Amino acid sequence: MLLGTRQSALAKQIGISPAYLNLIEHDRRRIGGKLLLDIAERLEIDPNVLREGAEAALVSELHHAEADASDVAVEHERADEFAGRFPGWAQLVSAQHREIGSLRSAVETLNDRLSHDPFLADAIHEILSTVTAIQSSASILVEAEDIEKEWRDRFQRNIFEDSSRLSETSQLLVGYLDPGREDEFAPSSAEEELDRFLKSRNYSFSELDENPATEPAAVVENETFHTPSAKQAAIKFMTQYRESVARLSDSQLFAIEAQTEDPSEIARMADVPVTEVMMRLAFRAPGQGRAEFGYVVADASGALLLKRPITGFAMPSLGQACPLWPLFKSLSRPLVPIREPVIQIGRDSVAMASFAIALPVETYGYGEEPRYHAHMLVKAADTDQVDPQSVGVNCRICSVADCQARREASILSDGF
Amino acid sequence: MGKSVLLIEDEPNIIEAISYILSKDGWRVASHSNGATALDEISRRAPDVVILDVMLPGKTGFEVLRDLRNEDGLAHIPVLMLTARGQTKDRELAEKVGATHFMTKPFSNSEVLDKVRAMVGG
Repeated sequence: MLLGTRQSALAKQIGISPAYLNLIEHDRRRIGGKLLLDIAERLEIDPNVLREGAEAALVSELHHAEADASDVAVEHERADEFAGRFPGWAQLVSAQHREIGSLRSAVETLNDRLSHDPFLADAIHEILSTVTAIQSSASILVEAEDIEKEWRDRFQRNIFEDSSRLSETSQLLVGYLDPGREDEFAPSSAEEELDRFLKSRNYSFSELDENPATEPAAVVENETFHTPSAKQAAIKFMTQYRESVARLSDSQLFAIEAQTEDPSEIARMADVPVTEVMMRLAFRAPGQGRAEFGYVVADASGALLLKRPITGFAMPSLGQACPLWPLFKSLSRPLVPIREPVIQIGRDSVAMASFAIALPVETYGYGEEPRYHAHMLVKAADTDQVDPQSVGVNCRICSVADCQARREASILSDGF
Repeated sequence: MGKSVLLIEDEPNIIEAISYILSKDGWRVASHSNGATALDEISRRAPDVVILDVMLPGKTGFEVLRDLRNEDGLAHIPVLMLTARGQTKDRELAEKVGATHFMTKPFSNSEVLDKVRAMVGG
C-alpha cells in the first residue's frame, strides 16, 4: 500500500484506473516519465524512491540469474547499475532466466517420463518381445535345411502375425509420442504454473470474497494453463477458499481480526481451523486496514506446496528454501504453534512477525501414520521486534558467511 | 534319452520357435506361461535346465528365481534368464538372485542353444 493513501483516490487524482495503479504497485507494469512524476508529486516523495521499487524486483531477478550460472563471472555489485542503465537488456536477462527455468523443468519432466512411464515401458517390452519372436522364427526358416512343410507354414504364419502386431504397437507408440499433444509436454511444471497464476491474481480473489457462490472454474476460464494439474490445483485451491468464505465471510473475519492478531485466537473465535484463517488472511482482497500477509505451506520433505511472498519476505521460485524458516522448525514440533520474529537478510531487510504450525493433513486412525503439512504466516511487524531470527531466501543468494545451516555455497561474495 | 528343458515364457510364438530349435537339438522341451505357478511346474517336472523370462503374468521372473534358489532340491537347477531390457540394473539383479546365465531380447537361436548346452556341461 502506498503510504496508506487510498489507492482509488490516488488513481483518480492522477487520472488512471485503480486496476492499472494496482498493476504498477505490484511491479506488473513498468512506469516512467510523466506518470511517475505525477504519482511522486501526489505522494510528496522523491521520484527515485518509486523508480527503485520497480528496479529492486528486477535486480533480485538478475541475482537469481547469476546464481544459476555459477561458472560465469558477472559484476555482482554492479547489478543495480546494469538494471538502471540498460533496463531493456536487464529485462531480457531476467525473461531468459525464467525461460531457462521452465525449459529445465520440462527436460526433467521428459526425463522422468522416459524412465518411469508405464506405457513406454510396456510398449518397448512388447516391441522387443515381438522382434525376438520374428527373429527366432525367421532364422529357423533360413537356417533349418530339412524343415517339414507343416512347420514351415506354421513359422511363416507366426512371422506374419507378429509383424502385424509389431506395426500396431509402433503406431501406438508414434501416436503416444506425437508432439501435437502439447498438454502433456508442457514447458513448465505444474508447481511453477500455479505460482504464476496466483501472482497474476495479486494473490487475491475478490470475486470469491464478495460471493462465495462464484464457480472457481469460471474464475480460471480465461486463464491459459499448460499443465492440466496446475489448473486442477488452482481450482482446488479456490474451492477451499470459497468454502471457507461461506463459513466465515470476509467482513466477519475482519471484525474478529480487530479484536486479536493471533491466528489461533481468531480461529478459536471464528470456530474454524487455524490453517483456514492463515489461508484467508494471505489471500483476501486488499482493502483499507487489511494487513498484508505472506504465507507458505510445505510438506514433510520441505517442498513448498503453496507460496504467497510479500515485501520483506521473499520465497525461492524454484527449489528449496532457507532451513532456518520457522516453517521448518514447526515440522519438528508438530501441533505446537510457533511465534517468532524473523528478518530476511537482504537489501530491504525489515523485521517480520511469523506464526508457524504443522498439522496433520487428514484425519488418521489407529495404526496410521499422520502426514503433516507445515504452514507459516508472515507479516511486517507493527512494533519493534526483540532479537529477530535472521533467515535467508535460499543458500545460493544468501550472504551470511558463518551459517551452520548452509547446504551449498553462496554466489554472493559480499562480506566474505 | 535327451536332457530336459522347461521354458517359462508368455509369448506363444517365442515358445514355439525356441521349442522347435531345442527339440531339433535333441532336448525334451516343456513350456509354462504363468509366473505364479512356475515354481510348482519346475518342482513337478524337475528339468535339467530352466529358461525363465523376466516379464511374466502373476509373478516376475526375478521372484520365481529367488523362490527357486530357496527351495531344497531345486536350488541347483541352472537357470537362463531372458529379459527385454538390457539394463545393467536387470543384469545385476539377475546375478544377485542367482541366474546362471542372462540373455537380452532380441537374441539369436544359436545363442540360446549355446547357452543351454553350456549350462549342462555339454
